[in-house]
Amino acid sequence: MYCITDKQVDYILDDIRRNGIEMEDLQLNLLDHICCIIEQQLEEDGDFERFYHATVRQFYKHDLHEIEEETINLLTFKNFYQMKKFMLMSGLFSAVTFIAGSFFKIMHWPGASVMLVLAFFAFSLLFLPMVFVLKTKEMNQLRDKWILGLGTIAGILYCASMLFNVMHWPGARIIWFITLILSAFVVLPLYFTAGVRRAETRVNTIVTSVLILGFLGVQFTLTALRPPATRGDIYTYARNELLLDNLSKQASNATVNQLAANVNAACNELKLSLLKEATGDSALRTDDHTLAHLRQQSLQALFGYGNKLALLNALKSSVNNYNAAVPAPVQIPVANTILDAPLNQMGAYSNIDALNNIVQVQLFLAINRPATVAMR
Amino acid sequence: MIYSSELIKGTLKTIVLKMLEDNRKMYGYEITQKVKELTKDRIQLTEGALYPTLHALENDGLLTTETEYIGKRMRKYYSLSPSGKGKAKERVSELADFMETMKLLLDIQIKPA
Repeated sequence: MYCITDKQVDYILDDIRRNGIEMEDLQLNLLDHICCIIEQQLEEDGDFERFYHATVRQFYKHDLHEIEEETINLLTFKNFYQMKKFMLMSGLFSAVTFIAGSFFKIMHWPGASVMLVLAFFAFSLLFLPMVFVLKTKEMNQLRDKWILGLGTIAGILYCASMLFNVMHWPGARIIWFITLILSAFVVLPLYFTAGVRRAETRVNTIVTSVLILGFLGVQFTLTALRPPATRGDIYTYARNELLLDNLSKQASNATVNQLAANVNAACNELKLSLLKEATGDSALRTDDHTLAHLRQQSLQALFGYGNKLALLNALKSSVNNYNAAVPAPVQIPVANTILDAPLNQMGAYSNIDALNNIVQVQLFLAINRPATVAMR
Repeated sequence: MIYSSELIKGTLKTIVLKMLEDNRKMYGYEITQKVKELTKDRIQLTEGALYPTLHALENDGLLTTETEYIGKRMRKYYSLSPSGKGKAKERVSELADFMETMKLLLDIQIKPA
């Protein structure tokens, strides 16, 4: 029986560690096992090192690290399988909820927002992180893990920017630009350079990179260039404003009707609020430059936040007060305007339609009671 | 005759549990030697399969361990935990049942000829 010295024990342990066995438990088990074999089978005057290497060689097919890999696989396999199932379920759930939520949203049915928010959380906080965890397990290189990690973050940010956009929460554009910069200038170049170097992934990498780049480009175009308002609608509005201007200058000495003045003031306030939203300028302007920058927006969204709804309600009640005080022929007509439409149908009107409706109310007043609008 | 590693792989947990049921506490090398001896060298457990399995069984709570110093190195003894004892019986009877079924299945396929 061979007698192993302490120095030889250290030698074996060092060699095991060097060959990729990192779990301490496994190191100790293998060390004892190898020592047992050597003690049992090596002659007393045998060559320790040669016998040791020949013994260890029988433990594996390619390298010793296999044993640790197999151990980790066995330890995590159960979890791994369940996680994979959960990942697929969360992905399916978020896709279905997202499609349903979008459909509800365009139909203006209740529950759309809840669905979209839920879909967002399921997708970006369950599905994407789990794809990351499961995929990185299969990856060997740290670089690949980093790329996937950054890609996951870009994906989560992308979802967040879309959610903020649909929900009209502030900050959507900032998140979107961070997403763009991260994906176009960090993730994509890293992904491309890593993948294009390996012959087996070259074609796939090029195709995927082009697809991502194209997708980002289209999304950028969509968000950077907002759909311009129809020229005709904008010019109608501008003409109405000019007409109002001219009429106001012919102010007569007629008695100022306080009610009409109230309507006019309410009109101006809502108009300014809408214009400020569309152009960023709080002054009432109808010059070409301002008009060119007027963005057409749905009223449904505009009345969702800020005080525009309160301004609209103020205008409505001042019109009602006015109409109650004057005989039928000179009452302000409200049929088919935003003053008449129920709130849940505001989606059918744009901000330009609203501006036209309001300025027409003012025109009507200017014709009937020029003095009340003379203060413009 | 030495059996293929696929055959050993599917039954390795059962073999380890049965060894520990019969011998109370054992260390890794001891298990390989015992199996070799009992099967007259026909089943030789490889280190690359045995240790991952021992760690997995320990992780599942089926085995308990105690360590002992042999000079400078440490030896890890494995024994069955209470739930491991139940599992050992379950796995052995499952395998016995499986072998009956295999006999039936293979007999049916071989005999008609």
